Amino acid sequence: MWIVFLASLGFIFAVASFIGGFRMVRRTDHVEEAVMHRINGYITVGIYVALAVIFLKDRFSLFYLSLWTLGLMVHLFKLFIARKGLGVRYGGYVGAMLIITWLVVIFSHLPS
Amino acid sequence: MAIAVLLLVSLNVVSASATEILVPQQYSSIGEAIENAGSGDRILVSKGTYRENIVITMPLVLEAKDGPQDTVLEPLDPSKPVIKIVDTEKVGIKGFTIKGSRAAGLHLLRTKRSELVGSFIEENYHGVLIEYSSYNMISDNTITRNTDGISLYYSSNNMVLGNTVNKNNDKGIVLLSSHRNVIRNNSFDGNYWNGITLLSSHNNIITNNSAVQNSYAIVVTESAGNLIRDNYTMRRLYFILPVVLVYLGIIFYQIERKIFALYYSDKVKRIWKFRD
Repeated sequence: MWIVFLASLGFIFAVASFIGGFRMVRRTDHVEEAVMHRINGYITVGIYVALAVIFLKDRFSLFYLSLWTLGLMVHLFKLFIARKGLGVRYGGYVGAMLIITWLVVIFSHLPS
Repeated sequence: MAIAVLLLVSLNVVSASATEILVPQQYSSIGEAIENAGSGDRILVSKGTYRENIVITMPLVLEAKDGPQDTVLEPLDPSKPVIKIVDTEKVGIKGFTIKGSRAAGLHLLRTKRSELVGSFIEENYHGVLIEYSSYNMISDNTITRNTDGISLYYSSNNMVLGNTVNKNNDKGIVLLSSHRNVIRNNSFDGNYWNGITLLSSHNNIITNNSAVQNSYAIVVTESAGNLIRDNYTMRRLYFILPVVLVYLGIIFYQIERKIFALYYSDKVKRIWKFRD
Protein backbone atom coordinates (compact mmCIF):
# COMPACT_ATOMS: atom_id res chain seq x y z
CA MET A 1 0.00 0.00 0.00
CA TRP A 2 2.85 2.39 0.79
CA ILE A 3 3.95 2.22 -2.83
CA VAL A 4 0.68 3.96 -3.78
CA PHE A 5 1.61 6.76 -1.38
CA LEU A 6 5.09 7.01 -2.90
CA ALA A 7 3.62 7.18 -6.41
CA SER A 8 1.11 9.80 -5.20
CA LEU A 9 3.91 11.86 -3.68
CA GLY A 10 5.79 11.72 -6.97
CA PHE A 11 2.69 12.90 -8.82
CA ILE A 12 2.25 15.83 -6.40
CA PHE A 13 5.85 16.90 -6.99
CA ALA A 14 5.37 16.49 -10.74
CA VAL A 15 2.30 18.77 -10.67
CA ALA A 16 4.14 21.35 -8.54
CA SER A 17 7.10 21.21 -10.91
CA PHE A 18 4.77 21.56 -13.92
CA ILE A 19 3.12 24.70 -12.52
CA GLY A 20 6.50 26.13 -11.52
CA GLY A 21 7.78 25.52 -15.06
CA PHE A 22 4.88 27.43 -16.58
CA ARG A 23 5.43 30.36 -14.24
CA MET A 24 9.12 30.40 -15.01
CA VAL A 25 8.39 30.64 -18.72
CA ARG A 26 6.27 33.73 -18.10
CA ARG A 27 8.53 35.41 -15.54
CA THR A 28 12.26 34.93 -15.40
CA ASP A 29 13.12 37.43 -12.68
CA HIS A 30 12.31 35.26 -9.66
CA VAL A 31 15.22 33.20 -8.41
CA GLU A 32 13.07 31.20 -5.97
CA GLU A 33 10.83 29.94 -8.77
CA ALA A 34 13.84 28.53 -10.59
CA VAL A 35 15.22 26.88 -7.44
CA MET A 36 11.81 25.43 -6.56
CA HIS A 37 11.29 24.10 -10.06
CA ARG A 38 14.71 22.49 -10.04
CA ILE A 39 14.26 20.90 -6.60
CA ASN A 40 10.77 19.61 -7.44
CA GLY A 41 12.08 18.21 -10.69
CA TYR A 42 14.97 16.35 -9.09
CA ILE A 43 12.74 14.92 -6.34
CA THR A 44 10.25 13.81 -9.01
CA VAL A 45 12.95 12.00 -10.99
CA GLY A 46 14.29 10.46 -7.76
CA ILE A 47 10.88 9.09 -6.80
CA TYR A 48 10.35 7.86 -10.36
CA VAL A 49 13.62 5.90 -10.30
CA ALA A 50 12.81 4.49 -6.84
CA LEU A 51 9.38 3.35 -8.04
CA ALA A 52 10.91 1.78 -11.15
CA VAL A 53 13.43 -0.18 -9.07
CA ILE A 54 10.75 -1.38 -6.62
CA PHE A 55 8.39 -2.36 -9.42
CA LEU A 56 11.00 -4.17 -11.51
CA LYS A 57 12.39 -5.99 -8.49
CA ASP A 58 8.99 -7.64 -8.10
CA ARG A 59 7.88 -8.05 -11.69
CA PHE A 60 10.84 -7.88 -14.00
CA SER A 61 10.25 -8.25 -17.71
CA LEU A 62 11.72 -6.58 -20.76
CA PHE A 63 8.33 -5.06 -21.50
CA TYR A 64 8.09 -3.36 -18.11
CA LEU A 65 11.74 -2.34 -18.24
CA SER A 66 11.25 -0.64 -21.60
CA LEU A 67 8.11 1.15 -20.31
CA TRP A 68 9.91 2.52 -17.26
CA THR A 69 12.92 3.47 -19.41
CA LEU A 70 10.59 5.31 -21.81
CA GLY A 71 9.20 7.30 -18.87
CA LEU A 72 12.71 8.14 -17.71
CA MET A 73 13.56 9.27 -21.25
CA VAL A 74 10.64 11.72 -21.09
CA HIS A 75 12.09 13.14 -17.86
CA LEU A 76 15.58 13.41 -19.38
CA PHE A 77 14.18 14.92 -22.57
CA LYS A 78 12.50 17.61 -20.46
CA LEU A 79 15.84 18.29 -18.78
CA PHE A 80 17.56 18.51 -22.18
CA ILE A 81 14.92 20.94 -23.49
CA ALA A 82 15.32 23.18 -20.44
CA ARG A 83 19.12 23.15 -20.65
CA LYS A 84 19.01 24.09 -24.33
CA GLY A 85 16.74 27.05 -23.56
CA LEU A 86 13.85 25.62 -25.57
CA GLY A 87 11.46 25.61 -22.61
CA VAL A 88 9.41 28.52 -23.92
CA ARG A 89 8.58 26.77 -27.16
CA TYR A 90 8.37 23.10 -26.14
CA GLY A 91 8.13 23.15 -22.33
CA GLY A 92 4.32 22.91 -22.30
CA TYR A 93 4.23 19.82 -24.52
CA VAL A 94 6.97 18.02 -22.64
CA GLY A 95 5.43 19.03 -19.31
CA ALA A 96 2.10 17.55 -20.42
CA MET A 97 3.94 14.36 -21.45
CA LEU A 98 5.46 14.21 -17.98
CA ILE A 99 2.09 14.57 -16.32
CA ILE A 100 0.69 11.78 -18.53
CA THR A 101 3.72 9.63 -17.63
CA TRP A 102 2.97 10.20 -13.97
CA LEU A 103 -0.70 9.37 -14.44
CA VAL A 104 0.38 6.04 -15.96
CA VAL A 105 2.72 5.52 -12.99
CA ILE A 106 -0.13 6.24 -10.57
CA PHE A 107 -2.50 3.87 -12.35
CA SER A 108 0.09 1.13 -12.56
CA HIS A 109 0.40 1.22 -8.77
CA LEU A 110 -3.23 1.71 -7.91
CA PRO A 111 -5.09 -1.21 -6.46
CA SER A 112 -7.82 -2.40 -8.82
CA MET B 1 -25.84 -39.48 25.02
CA ALA B 2 -24.78 -42.94 24.00
CA ILE B 3 -23.44 -41.55 20.74
CA ALA B 4 -21.48 -38.85 22.60
CA VAL B 5 -19.89 -41.42 24.91
CA LEU B 6 -19.09 -43.64 21.96
CA LEU B 7 -17.47 -40.68 20.14
CA LEU B 8 -15.43 -39.79 23.22
CA VAL B 9 -14.22 -43.35 23.61
CA SER B 10 -13.32 -43.60 19.93
CA LEU B 11 -11.38 -40.27 20.10
CA ASN B 12 -9.45 -41.55 23.10
CA VAL B 13 -8.63 -44.71 21.24
CA VAL B 14 -7.27 -42.69 18.34
CA SER B 15 -5.11 -40.42 20.52
CA ALA B 16 -3.86 -43.32 22.61
CA SER B 17 -2.79 -45.33 19.58
CA ALA B 18 -1.30 -42.34 17.68
CA THR B 19 2.50 -42.26 17.71
CA GLU B 20 5.04 -39.64 16.78
CA ILE B 21 7.47 -40.46 14.02
CA LEU B 22 10.58 -38.37 13.54
CA VAL B 23 12.13 -37.58 10.17
CA PRO B 24 15.04 -37.91 9.49
CA GLN B 25 15.91 -39.41 12.92
CA GLN B 26 13.76 -42.55 12.50
CA TYR B 27 13.23 -42.56 8.75
CA SER B 28 15.42 -40.74 6.26
CA SER B 29 12.54 -39.68 4.02
CA ILE B 30 8.97 -38.54 4.59
CA GLY B 31 7.67 -41.14 2.13
CA GLU B 32 9.33 -43.91 4.12
CA ALA B 33 7.85 -42.54 7.33
CA ILE B 34 4.37 -42.51 5.78
CA GLU B 35 4.76 -46.11 4.58
CA ASN B 36 5.53 -47.19 8.13
CA ALA B 37 2.95 -44.98 9.83
CA GLY B 38 -0.39 -46.07 11.13
CA SER B 39 -3.68 -44.30 10.89
CA GLY B 40 -3.70 -41.11 13.01
CA ASP B 41 0.06 -40.96 13.52
CA ARG B 42 1.98 -37.71 13.65
CA ILE B 43 5.08 -37.32 11.52
CA LEU B 44 7.41 -34.60 12.77
CA VAL B 45 9.88 -33.38 10.16
CA SER B 46 13.07 -31.60 11.17
CA LYS B 47 14.51 -28.76 9.15
CA GLY B 48 16.05 -29.44 5.77
CA THR B 49 15.14 -29.75 2.12
CA TYR B 50 13.28 -32.93 1.16
CA ARG B 51 12.96 -33.89 -2.51
CA GLU B 52 10.00 -36.24 -2.72
CA ASN B 53 6.59 -36.72 -4.25
CA ILE B 54 4.57 -37.46 -1.14
CA VAL B 55 1.34 -39.44 -1.41
CA ILE B 56 -0.92 -39.72 1.63
CA THR B 57 -3.80 -42.17 1.66
CA MET B 58 -4.60 -42.43 5.36
CA PRO B 59 -5.40 -40.07 8.23
CA LEU B 60 -2.21 -38.60 9.67
CA VAL B 61 -0.53 -35.34 10.56
CA LEU B 62 2.57 -34.16 8.73
CA GLU B 63 4.20 -31.32 10.62
CA ALA B 64 7.38 -29.30 10.21
CA LYS B 65 9.08 -29.09 13.59
CA ASP B 66 11.08 -25.96 12.80
CA GLY B 67 8.58 -24.00 10.74
CA PRO B 68 8.24 -23.24 7.04
CA GLN B 69 11.41 -21.14 6.61
CA ASP B 70 13.65 -24.10 7.34
CA THR B 71 11.61 -27.08 6.16
CA VAL B 72 11.29 -27.21 2.40
CA LEU B 73 9.47 -29.83 0.33
CA GLU B 74 10.32 -30.04 -3.37
CA PRO B 75 9.13 -32.64 -5.88
CA LEU B 76 11.47 -35.37 -7.06
CA ASP B 77 9.39 -35.49 -10.23
CA PRO B 78 8.24 -31.90 -10.93
CA SER B 79 5.42 -33.11 -13.18
CA LYS B 80 3.67 -34.52 -10.09
CA PRO B 81 2.35 -32.74 -6.99
CA VAL B 82 4.69 -32.25 -4.06
CA ILE B 83 2.02 -33.61 -1.70
CA LYS B 84 -0.98 -35.57 -2.95
CA ILE B 85 -3.71 -36.54 -0.52
CA VAL B 86 -6.10 -39.00 -2.09
CA ASP B 87 -9.20 -40.96 -1.02
CA THR B 88 -8.85 -40.29 2.67
CA GLU B 89 -9.81 -37.92 5.46
CA LYS B 90 -8.41 -36.12 8.54
CA VAL B 91 -4.97 -35.34 7.16
CA GLY B 92 -3.09 -32.38 8.59
CA ILE B 93 -0.24 -30.56 6.83
CA LYS B 94 1.42 -27.91 8.97
CA GLY B 95 4.23 -25.44 8.54
CA PHE B 96 6.16 -26.41 5.39
CA THR B 97 7.51 -24.56 2.39
CA ILE B 98 6.11 -26.45 -0.59
CA LYS B 99 7.56 -25.42 -3.94
CA GLY B 100 8.57 -26.22 -7.49
CA SER B 101 5.90 -28.54 -8.93
CA ARG B 102 4.53 -28.13 -12.45
CA ALA B 103 1.37 -29.89 -11.23
CA ALA B 104 0.49 -28.65 -7.73
CA GLY B 105 2.07 -27.87 -4.40
CA LEU B 106 -0.71 -29.64 -2.55
CA HIS B 107 -3.31 -31.76 -4.34
CA LEU B 108 -6.37 -32.95 -2.46
CA LEU B 109 -8.32 -35.53 -4.43
CA ARG B 110 -11.53 -37.06 -3.03
CA THR B 111 -10.44 -36.01 0.46
CA LYS B 112 -12.52 -34.93 3.44
CA ARG B 113 -11.96 -33.04 6.69
CA SER B 114 -8.28 -32.34 6.09
CA GLU B 115 -6.31 -29.26 7.01
CA LEU B 116 -3.49 -27.25 5.50
CA VAL B 117 -2.16 -24.71 7.98
CA GLY B 118 0.70 -22.21 8.18
CA SER B 119 2.66 -23.23 5.09
CA PHE B 120 4.43 -21.29 2.34
CA ILE B 121 3.35 -22.57 -1.05
CA GLU B 122 5.22 -21.06 -3.96
CA GLU B 123 6.33 -21.52 -7.58
CA ASN B 124 3.98 -24.39 -8.40
CA TYR B 125 1.42 -24.56 -11.18
CA HIS B 126 -1.49 -24.81 -8.76
CA GLY B 127 -0.53 -23.71 -5.27
CA VAL B 128 -3.33 -25.75 -3.74
CA LEU B 129 -5.56 -27.90 -5.94
CA ILE B 130 -8.69 -29.33 -4.34
CA GLU B 131 -10.72 -31.73 -6.50
CA TYR B 132 -13.87 -33.63 -5.60
CA SER B 133 -13.19 -32.92 -1.94
CA SER B 134 -15.25 -31.49 0.89
CA TYR B 135 -15.11 -30.16 4.46
CA ASN B 136 -11.42 -29.29 4.21
CA MET B 137 -9.77 -26.27 5.78
CA ILE B 138 -7.03 -24.14 4.20
CA SER B 139 -5.91 -21.51 6.68
CA ASP B 140 -3.08 -19.08 7.44
CA ASN B 141 -0.92 -20.06 4.49
CA THR B 142 1.14 -17.82 2.23
CA ILE B 143 0.49 -18.87 -1.36
CA THR B 144 2.52 -16.88 -3.84
CA ARG B 145 4.20 -16.94 -7.28
CA ASN B 146 2.23 -19.98 -8.43
CA THR B 147 0.29 -19.94 -11.69
CA ASP B 148 -3.01 -20.21 -9.80
CA GLY B 149 -3.00 -19.75 -6.03
CA ILE B 150 -5.89 -21.93 -4.88
CA SER B 151 -8.07 -24.00 -7.23
CA LEU B 152 -11.27 -25.62 -6.04
CA TYR B 153 -12.74 -27.91 -8.68
CA TYR B 154 -15.99 -29.78 -8.03
CA SER B 155 -15.46 -29.36 -4.30
CA SER B 156 -17.98 -28.26 -1.71
CA ASN B 157 -18.20 -27.13 1.92
CA ASN B 158 -14.52 -26.26 2.23
CA MET B 159 -13.17 -23.33 4.22
CA VAL B 160 -10.44 -20.98 3.03
CA LEU B 161 -9.56 -18.66 5.90
CA GLY B 162 -6.86 -16.08 6.58
CA ASN B 163 -4.52 -16.95 3.73
CA THR B 164 -2.23 -14.59 1.86
CA VAL B 165 -2.68 -15.47 -1.80
CA ASN B 166 -0.68 -12.72 -3.50
CA LYS B 167 1.34 -12.23 -6.67
CA ASN B 168 0.39 -15.41 -8.46
CA ASN B 169 0.99 -15.46 -12.19
CA ASP B 170 -2.60 -16.04 -13.19
CA LYS B 171 -5.45 -16.11 -10.66
CA GLY B 172 -5.65 -15.87 -6.88
CA ILE B 173 -8.45 -18.33 -6.22
CA VAL B 174 -10.62 -20.19 -8.73
CA LEU B 175 -13.83 -22.02 -7.90
CA LEU B 176 -15.13 -24.26 -10.66
CA SER B 177 -18.42 -26.04 -10.03
CA SER B 178 -17.74 -25.76 -6.32
CA HIS B 179 -20.56 -24.95 -3.95
CA ARG B 180 -21.17 -23.84 -0.34
CA ASN B 181 -17.53 -23.01 0.36
CA VAL B 182 -16.54 -20.27 2.80
CA ILE B 183 -13.77 -17.87 1.72
CA ARG B 184 -13.09 -15.34 4.44
CA ASN B 185 -10.35 -12.98 5.67
CA ASN B 186 -7.91 -13.78 2.88
CA SER B 187 -5.89 -11.38 0.76
CA PHE B 188 -5.88 -11.98 -2.99
CA ASP B 189 -3.67 -9.05 -4.02
CA GLY B 190 -1.36 -8.41 -6.94
CA ASN B 191 -2.29 -11.50 -8.92
CA TYR B 192 -1.76 -11.11 -12.65
CA TRP B 193 -5.33 -11.87 -13.68
CA ASN B 194 -8.35 -12.23 -11.33
CA GLY B 195 -8.22 -12.06 -7.57
CA ILE B 196 -11.31 -14.21 -7.01
CA THR B 197 -12.95 -16.21 -9.80
CA LEU B 198 -16.23 -18.11 -9.59
CA LEU B 199 -17.27 -20.31 -12.51
CA SER B 200 -20.55 -22.21 -12.24
CA SER B 201 -20.24 -22.16 -8.47
CA HIS B 202 -23.24 -21.53 -6.26
CA ASN B 203 -24.06 -20.59 -2.67
CA ASN B 204 -20.52 -19.75 -1.60
CA ILE B 205 -19.79 -17.20 1.12
CA ILE B 206 -17.06 -14.75 0.16
CA THR B 207 -16.60 -12.08 2.80
CA ASN B 208 -13.93 -9.81 4.28
CA ASN B 209 -11.32 -10.59 1.67
CA SER B 210 -8.98 -8.12 0.06
CA ALA B 211 -8.68 -8.24 -3.74
CA VAL B 212 -6.58 -5.31 -4.90
CA GLN B 213 -4.04 -4.76 -7.68
CA ASN B 214 -5.27 -7.64 -9.78
CA SER B 215 -6.37 -7.14 -13.39
CA TYR B 216 -9.89 -7.86 -12.13
CA ALA B 217 -10.80 -8.07 -8.47
CA ILE B 218 -13.77 -10.48 -8.36
CA VAL B 219 -15.15 -12.24 -11.44
CA VAL B 220 -18.39 -14.22 -11.20
CA THR B 221 -19.60 -16.24 -14.18
CA GLU B 222 -22.72 -18.42 -14.40
CA SER B 223 -22.96 -18.58 -10.63
CA ALA B 224 -25.93 -17.93 -8.37
CA GLY B 225 -26.76 -17.54 -4.70
CA ASN B 226 -23.27 -16.49 -3.64
CA LEU B 227 -22.89 -14.09 -0.72
CA ILE B 228 -20.14 -11.67 -1.76
CA ARG B 229 -19.91 -8.93 0.83
CA ASP B 230 -17.48 -6.61 2.63
CA ASN B 231 -14.58 -7.42 0.35
CA TYR B 232 -11.96 -4.73 -0.15
CA THR B 233 -11.42 -3.79 -3.80
CA MET B 234 -10.95 0.03 -3.87
CA ARG B 235 -12.33 0.47 -7.39
CA ARG B 236 -13.43 4.09 -6.85
CA LEU B 237 -9.91 5.20 -6.11
CA TYR B 238 -9.16 5.03 -9.84
CA PHE B 239 -11.30 8.07 -10.50
CA ILE B 240 -10.85 10.04 -7.31
CA LEU B 241 -7.14 9.80 -6.58
CA PRO B 242 -5.67 11.56 -9.67
CA VAL B 243 -8.04 14.53 -9.22
CA VAL B 244 -7.22 14.79 -5.52
CA LEU B 245 -3.51 14.59 -6.30
CA VAL B 246 -3.69 17.43 -8.84
CA TYR B 247 -5.35 19.60 -6.18
CA LEU B 248 -2.75 18.56 -3.63
CA GLY B 249 -0.02 19.41 -6.16
CA ILE B 250 -1.43 22.93 -6.64
CA ILE B 251 -1.77 23.49 -2.88
CA PHE B 252 1.73 22.13 -2.32
CA TYR B 253 3.10 24.48 -4.97
CA GLN B 254 1.43 27.51 -3.34
CA ILE B 255 2.78 26.64 0.11
CA GLU B 256 6.24 25.93 -1.29
CA ARG B 257 6.24 29.26 -3.15
CA LYS B 258 5.45 31.18 0.02
CA ILE B 259 8.21 29.42 1.94
CA PHE B 260 10.78 29.99 -0.80
CA ALA B 261 9.71 33.60 -1.24
CA LEU B 262 10.27 34.23 2.47
CA TYR B 263 13.71 32.69 2.30
CA TYR B 264 14.78 34.46 -0.88
CA SER B 265 13.21 37.85 -0.12
CA ASP B 266 16.30 38.88 1.90
CA LYS B 267 18.74 37.60 -0.64
CA VAL B 268 17.32 39.34 -3.70
CA LYS B 269 16.15 42.37 -1.74
CA ARG B 270 12.55 41.91 -2.71
CA ILE B 271 9.58 41.96 -0.37
CA TRP B 272 6.81 39.47 -0.87
CA LYS B 273 3.96 41.95 -0.33
CA PHE B 274 4.93 43.98 -3.41
CA ARG B 275 4.71 40.96 -5.66
CA ASP B 276 1.72 39.97 -7.79
